[in-house]
Amino acid sequence: MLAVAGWLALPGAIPARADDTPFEVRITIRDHRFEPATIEVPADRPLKLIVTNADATPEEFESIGLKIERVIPPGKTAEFTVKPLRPNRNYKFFGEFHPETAQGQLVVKTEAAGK
Amino acid sequence: MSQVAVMVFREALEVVVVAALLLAATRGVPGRWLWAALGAGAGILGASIIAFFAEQLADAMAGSSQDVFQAVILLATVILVAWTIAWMRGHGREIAAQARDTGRRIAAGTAPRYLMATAIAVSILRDGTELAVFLVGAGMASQQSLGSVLAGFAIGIAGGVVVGILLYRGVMAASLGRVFNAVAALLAFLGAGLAAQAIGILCTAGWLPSGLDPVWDTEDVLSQASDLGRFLHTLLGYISQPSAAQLLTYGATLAFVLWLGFRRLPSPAAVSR
Repeated sequence: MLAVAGWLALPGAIPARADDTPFEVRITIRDHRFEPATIEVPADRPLKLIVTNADATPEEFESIGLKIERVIPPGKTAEFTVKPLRPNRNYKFFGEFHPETAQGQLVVKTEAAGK
Repeated sequence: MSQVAVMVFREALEVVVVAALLLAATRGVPGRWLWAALGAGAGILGASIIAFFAEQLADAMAGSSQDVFQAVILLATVILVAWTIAWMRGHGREIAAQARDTGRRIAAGTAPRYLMATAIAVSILRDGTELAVFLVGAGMASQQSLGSVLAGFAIGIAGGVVVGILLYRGVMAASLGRVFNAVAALLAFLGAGLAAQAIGILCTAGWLPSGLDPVWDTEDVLSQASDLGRFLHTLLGYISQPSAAQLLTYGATLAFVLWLGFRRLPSPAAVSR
């Protein structure tokens, strides 16, 4: 119940501080590879991962560190909100259905380079 | 084909481990093999239905409903496993007596076979849905013929079943007369791992407030995506980058299920009618 209440309250909480606006990361799955495969993201700021599957086959976007595991049908886009991460850490992600090619990672930096 | 086989094997592994341990735990319960088969059939049917409508559900699936679906199934599995252990601990004696004395066949209840069957069904629902979506995709991709997909599927399932039989036999043989204790302990670790995984998903999806910062990071030492990592993840709940919330959940679930499986029971005299 508390979790539900917290979840409902979340949208209202976003504009409080500039740092709280999600940093958008766009990833495209094409030919069973991630484009881009390595992405620098800012630390201590929520992220919004927007993953588009441009292939003709489904893919499962999975990250062990980020606890994400979601099937994306062909031609569809999935969005993930990631809570603020600590700097100097890499979070790998992969395509469970094509792990031999679909590999990528988020590199968390204190001072993130522009997109 | 080999890629299909590997994928099928991995997805089957989790179901097989759950099924093998629950079948070992419910030794002596009448009709357990039939009910395990019924549970498996229901799970396969449910997963096929969900996978069939996957395209139509695509827009809904873009949101976090998949995460909630996964977390609910994981938590349901934990509850079913814990309930089975609690029941078997409480009624193990009656079941043993029943095995010796066929005249008392009606005496012992049959609750654990329904719990076990439901646990198998929901496990298949979770992993089978994913697998069915993958297989349909593999079949659509022109580089794979239907025959090679089916062959890969058969090899993967066969591999999973072999591991299940080895695990079942191993557990039964290694613990001799004390099967239930060994299996209850293994199931406690398995349940703790499933609960921790569910909490991780709920934290990421924003349903729980805690963050993702890992307490330790052994992903480079033993990747959770590797075959050994996956097996240990399924059997013991190995997590390479566990958050604090996951560790707490793991510890609490482990302690609770171990207590259920090894709790002190009233003396036999008090139980018998």
